[in-house]
Amino acid sequence: MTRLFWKTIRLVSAAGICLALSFAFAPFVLGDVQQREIAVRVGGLACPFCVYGLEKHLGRLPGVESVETDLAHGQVVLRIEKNGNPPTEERIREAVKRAGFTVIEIRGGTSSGIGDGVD
Amino acid sequence: MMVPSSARSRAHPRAGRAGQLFIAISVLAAPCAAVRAGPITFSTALPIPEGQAIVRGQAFAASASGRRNGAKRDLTILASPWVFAYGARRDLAFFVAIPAVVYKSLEGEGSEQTRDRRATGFGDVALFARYTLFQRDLGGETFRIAPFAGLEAPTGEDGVGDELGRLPRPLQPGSGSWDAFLGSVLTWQKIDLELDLDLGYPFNGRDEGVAFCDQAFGDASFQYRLWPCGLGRGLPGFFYAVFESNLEWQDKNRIGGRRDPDSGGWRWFLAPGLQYVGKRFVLEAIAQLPAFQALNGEALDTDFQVRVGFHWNFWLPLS
Repeated sequence: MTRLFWKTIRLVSAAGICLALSFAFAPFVLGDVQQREIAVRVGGLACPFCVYGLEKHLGRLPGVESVETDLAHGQVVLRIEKNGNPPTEERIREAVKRAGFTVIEIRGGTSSGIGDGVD
Repeated sequence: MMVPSSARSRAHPRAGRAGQLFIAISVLAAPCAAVRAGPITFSTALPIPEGQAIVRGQAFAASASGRRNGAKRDLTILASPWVFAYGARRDLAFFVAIPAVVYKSLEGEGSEQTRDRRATGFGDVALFARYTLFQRDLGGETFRIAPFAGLEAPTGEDGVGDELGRLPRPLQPGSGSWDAFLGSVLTWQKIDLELDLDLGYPFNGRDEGVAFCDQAFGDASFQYRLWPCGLGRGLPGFFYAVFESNLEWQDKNRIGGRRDPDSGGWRWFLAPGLQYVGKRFVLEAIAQLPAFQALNGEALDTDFQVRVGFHWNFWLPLS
């Protein structure tokens, strides 16, 4: 009986620790960062000088904290403010259009699909 | 894009024979040059985003020489043309080209007619617009066609004189006439290369009873990325090797309904250059060397033209 009691206590403690760790590391394990980024694949983007105006237009969108361009893949990553609402797809498309370019694809989530570079 | 300019391939018949010397030189084509990364001696169809402004400055030097009536003549032209460009809409951009400082020096040997004469001053201001008529964007690639049209106003100084009197019109920094021009530019750009082509036709105005000649020009530019060879993540600056071709044709001037035999002709330049393109600025240099010149009468042959310049991006939203 005593052994069963302590075994139960140990199991419950282990489960509690696992649960606590899960909450603590959830943003990293489940990808909270992923939910705070939007990847925009932009058509027509082929030189560094063209990037400036595009980043200005996208950076002005409400909720966007910063913008980073990966020219090799024609992709711009929008980082969303911590407590901000991400811009709508329509507003992103409009911003890219006003910069003189074309949206190929918009993906919520991470920039994990960007890849490691090409020649 | 090239726009006509007072000093570009134009001789003023009233200036007498001295004016014909200048037919061989194209000077302020520089202000019409690109305000985007791309060609160095003309423009591109690449976009200027709405609310973005670009300033371009160039230092330009040209030399021409030849003989007239047995006397040797050397022409030197220095200029500092500036262009301000603004993206009004995604498909519409406006440009102001200002040849801020123009210095022209004609040095001759022999008689008084061929003595040294010099002029310094502001050139004519050109205003023009470019509209993106066709645009096809793919990943890392774009193809665009953009016609342009504009006016060159007689804002430059055209009354500069020396002890011999008023300088010939082609030596003046300004033209004294209103000129219109139109043309179109085509751009195909990929992540590692770019090709630009343009065609243009200036409609030259009339000043003091003189009709300037008609002109036409066609340019081509090929840019190839030298560095970095491979692209990783991020936004590196690009080093391009640039090779350009500039073809110009000028008809003969008309004076009182008659053609001036010492004006007009063909010129073809080949131009190797280098360009560094970053996110905020571009640095560039090019030398235009004459490959073919067939000028009428006693015009001077161009020896070379050199341009060194920069572009700078800045944000200027009006709304």
